[in-house]
Amino acid sequence: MNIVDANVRWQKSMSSFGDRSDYKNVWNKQTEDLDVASLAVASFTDEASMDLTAQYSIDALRFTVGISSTDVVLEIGCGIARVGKILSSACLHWFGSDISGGMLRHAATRLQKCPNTTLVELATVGLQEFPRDAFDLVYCTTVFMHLLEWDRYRYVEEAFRILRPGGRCYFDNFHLDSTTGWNLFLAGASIPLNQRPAHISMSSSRGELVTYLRKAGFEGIRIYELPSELLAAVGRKPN
Amino acid sequence: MHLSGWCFDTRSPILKVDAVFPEPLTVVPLTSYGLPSPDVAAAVNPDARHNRFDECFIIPPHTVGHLFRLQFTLSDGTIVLGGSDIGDAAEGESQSRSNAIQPKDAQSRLDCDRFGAASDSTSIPAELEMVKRRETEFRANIVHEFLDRGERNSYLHTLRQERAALIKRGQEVSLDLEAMVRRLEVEGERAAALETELHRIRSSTSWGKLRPIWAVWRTFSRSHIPSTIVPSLKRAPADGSVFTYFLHTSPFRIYREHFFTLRGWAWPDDGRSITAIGANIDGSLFVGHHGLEEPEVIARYGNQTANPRPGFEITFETSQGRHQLSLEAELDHAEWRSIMKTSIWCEPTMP
Repeated sequence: MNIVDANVRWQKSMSSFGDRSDYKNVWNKQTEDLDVASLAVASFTDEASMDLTAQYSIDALRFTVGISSTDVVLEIGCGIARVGKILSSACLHWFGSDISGGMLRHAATRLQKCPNTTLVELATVGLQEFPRDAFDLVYCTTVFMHLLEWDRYRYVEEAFRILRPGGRCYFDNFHLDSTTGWNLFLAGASIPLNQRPAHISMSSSRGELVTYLRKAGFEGIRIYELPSELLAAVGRKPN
Repeated sequence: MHLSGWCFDTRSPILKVDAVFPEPLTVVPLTSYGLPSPDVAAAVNPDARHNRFDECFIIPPHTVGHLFRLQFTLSDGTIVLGGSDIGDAAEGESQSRSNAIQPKDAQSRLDCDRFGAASDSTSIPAELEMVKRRETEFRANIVHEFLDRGERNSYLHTLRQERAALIKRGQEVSLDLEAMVRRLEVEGERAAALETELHRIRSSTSWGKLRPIWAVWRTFSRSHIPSTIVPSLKRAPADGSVFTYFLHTSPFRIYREHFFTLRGWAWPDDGRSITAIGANIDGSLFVGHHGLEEPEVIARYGNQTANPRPGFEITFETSQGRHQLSLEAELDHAEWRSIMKTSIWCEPTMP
């Protein structure tokens, strides 16, 4: 047996990664109705709680990257537009993108009174639907926990491409070095191996987020610990 | 503004303290941070010896009236953002000891006293704002144009694709219907020819001799027809629900027998257990057998906890004419739900 033959047999013996990478299907299945979709993306079904948590996310943006009334903003993984519904009133135009068309259907209903919004279904991981140098701010909140590391980086480098020079980016995730993050980790650990959902939350570290932004080309990179105990990485595309 | 207070983090030394104003985002370093704080060291932590700040600064233009937060830069570069907004006009000795301005695992205290504000209200900033707005509007339009050109991947395109698929499906159904009508016409002509042929045979001499034998055969052939298939109850068809199912004996046919046995497997997608199964024909429910083994289905879909044996079999009467068939299952002994509904056409050929 030579090494080439063994390598071929080894390749054939490998199992597929499973459903975690099949984001479109995983999230479309959780959009049967608005209540199910709301629980999937926000753990709430009532609008008041949804608006309150949205305000936390917007505050995080305001105090880290800033929001201007003249900003063209893109949210990666907007779900049912929890944040966009409120943020759209504070910027010039809000674009919401999501890989799940089902989520966007609910988002469209919730955004009926928000004329300066556009929803775009992503064909796959990445932002190839958008042109380069177009946005002032690209952000992605409470999404990284559901993505594999390669896909997290894919969105960071795509954000770099579509931001205009001087544009800002914001990405967050939970981290283990926080009470909430550790509890989330323990909750995941308690799920039996064969029952782990494909979208189970997984943490990020400071080093991981800084590396993504640095490798993508961002400058002025800063890491924030937010009051919500999320870890946020922000950066700016060089002029 | 006059701002004074102290802060301390048990995990890491605080290198820098800033006041952050959000709109526009403006960071004002509190350069006085590092003043001696023996009282804090005595009361909170011996390491908190130089953790005070006490200074006056000019509130950045355009931020007057806005709230601000403090942010604390730790030695590893992490910035801890204070938890809630602080008013820029806190008077005199108003003090905050809330978590809002504390770094994690830290304590802090703030005295905030606004004494003045700068406000630039010349027309140049407004003009600049207008220009910036026009520029960003232009950029937003570019994104829209790009999306329109590349709408292959957009949500709008998905909806259009679904609409086109539905139109295509409608056209296919119309075609099928037309083909079916033509086949019915052909079959009608064929049936008329056979009727003529039958009439000719029955009026022949040989038919007169074979007639007693035919009568005996009919008697025996009827004996295999189940005589106990009667509907167990009468009620309107149940409402539908989402099931995963397959029917081994297709209900989409012309029913030529007096009875028909529907075989298949099913389970509800909501995880409930099937406790009875039946076929509702025009409001008459024929209850069948459920809980039959379907090893290949289990091998394909995995074990169904609530329905480990998802197979079923229902025999129902198919009397002459058009009927509404609703295949139904009782879930958790609680309610009946329809798995699928269709209209059926029965033409029993046997006497």
